[in-house]
Amino acid sequence: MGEGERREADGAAGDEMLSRIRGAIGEWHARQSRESSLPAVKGRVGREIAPYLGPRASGRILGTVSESADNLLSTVGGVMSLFLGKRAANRFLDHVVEDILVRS
Amino acid sequence: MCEAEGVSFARALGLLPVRSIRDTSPLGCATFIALVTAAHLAVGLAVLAVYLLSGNAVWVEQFFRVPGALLLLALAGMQLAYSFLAWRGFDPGEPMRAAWGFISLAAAWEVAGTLAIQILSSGTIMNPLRGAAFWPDAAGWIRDAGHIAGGTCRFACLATGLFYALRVYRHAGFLARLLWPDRLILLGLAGYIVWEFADLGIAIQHGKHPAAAEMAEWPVDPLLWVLLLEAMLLYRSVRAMGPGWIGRCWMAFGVGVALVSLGDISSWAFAYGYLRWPWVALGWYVWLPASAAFALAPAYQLHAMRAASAGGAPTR
Amino acid sequence: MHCTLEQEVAGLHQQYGAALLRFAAGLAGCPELAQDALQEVFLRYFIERRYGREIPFPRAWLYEVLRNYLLDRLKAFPAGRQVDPACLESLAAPRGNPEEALESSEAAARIARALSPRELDCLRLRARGLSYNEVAATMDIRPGTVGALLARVQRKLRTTSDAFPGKGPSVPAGAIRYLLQGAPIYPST
Repeated sequence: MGEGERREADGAAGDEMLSRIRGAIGEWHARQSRESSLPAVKGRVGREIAPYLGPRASGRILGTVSESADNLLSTVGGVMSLFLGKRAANRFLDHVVEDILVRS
Repeated sequence: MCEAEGVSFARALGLLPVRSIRDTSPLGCATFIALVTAAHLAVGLAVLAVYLLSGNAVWVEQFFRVPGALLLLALAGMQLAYSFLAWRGFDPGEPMRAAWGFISLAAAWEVAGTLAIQILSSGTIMNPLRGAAFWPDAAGWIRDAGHIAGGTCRFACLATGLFYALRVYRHAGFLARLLWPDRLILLGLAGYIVWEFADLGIAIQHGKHPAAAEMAEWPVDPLLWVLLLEAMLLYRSVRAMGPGWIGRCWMAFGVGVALVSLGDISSWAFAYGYLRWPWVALGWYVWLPASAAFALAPAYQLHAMRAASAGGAPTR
Repeated sequence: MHCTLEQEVAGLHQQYGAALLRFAAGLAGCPELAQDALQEVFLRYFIERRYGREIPFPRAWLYEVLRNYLLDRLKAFPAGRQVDPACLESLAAPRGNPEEALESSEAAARIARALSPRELDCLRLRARGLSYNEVAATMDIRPGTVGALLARVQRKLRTTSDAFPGKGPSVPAGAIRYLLQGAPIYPST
């Protein structure tokens, strides 16, 4: 296979992969709107934070998250980093993403 | 054997990973610390009762000289180990790293002080220096050095550490205000300290020449006042946040400071005749739960950090 | 906002997708698993960014999550680590004749046996152009440890190159290509 042909094959494979990724994103969006609402997601995240910082602190943190939850992880991660350190807070966020956001 | 609310002793010392914050084993390191201290106290109070009934002080003396001394040293060692591990859990530049750095230093001073007072200046069989030719003359200054290490040096570092912790609470928006009973207590204590220094001033004017070791211990009471202020702020902040592992940590520091202050006040009250025998004996026992509280605090912090790390998703 | 994020994902895929896929194939030993992993990793990137997580070093993040995802999958299904003969045929053969390809593959297998899994990972990531800090972040180790691992790799490669008679002092390029480009030399145990 020549270099040009190899690049073409790689490009086609790349486009196919990107379509798969877009498809997976679309499926996730559809699942999100069907199965869980943003308040429910925030509630579940709050229940994860509460054992560390307390239920009232958890409520106050989530109260500062926007309605669209597009600053959920940065807000929660910021506060958890202060009290647990960045490394532990990052692993905590990984757990939140895996168990609540990806699988919901 | 020792499982700290889901963290085995080995795990808490960083040798093994933690499972999850929801794991509760029947015996935690925190529970272990509390149970051992409670058992010690129970034995100590029983021994005090025997003394009060029989008049024989040997049992009380032996209790504080050997098992009491060993427990204090063990608790100080655990405080140091856990505080150091908590410090290592924060990266350079993170605000809490400074807090735990100073708390670890305070714990190191506490170990040094406890070692000097409870072991190296004691006449018990535990003291390796007891047979040395220099020891009889040195015992006194070893004891003084222990008081300075476990008093002024330790409290200065702890006060700095708690200050940094309060800064983090303020930055997070969780710092609460003091209520009027808190302010009354602080005012009362401030008055006591002023009175103490006034008394000292009068004594110096009348020819008292305080030794260097005594002067080195003058900052202890003002430092205790600062610590009590910090402990109250932490207590109010934690109460406002609700119960959680981080809150338990800082609450434990508050309890430790309160108990140390109580011990200090009981010594003063006895010296000025406000507290009579046998009630002053209760002041001797307060140091055990105080040490336990200072050991529990970093244990809770470490548990929270390890549990957050262990609860992480498998993909990172 | 979601359109911007999709564009961000598409941009990252364009930049790093091919290299990530080769890295995944090398780790997984099978292109299907590698493709599944890549899809999962980019989906996860999208979700984390959707909820506001800051990812300052996307390339290192992608490698780290991909690596951990594959290690978890391979731990859960150990049989997946055995190379499927069907996968061999679907991989593009390196340039040169079949005898040379076989020799390179055997040389790569010798090198892989000489290196520990951590050293092999570190070599693969570094060969992808990740900086020491990015490799450290991906493998959850300190940058100094990355340097130490690579120094060990160099020593072992020099020792292993002595075992290639007639090839001179350097390790054959084909062997390195097999090591890095996803040819199935990953240990089956």
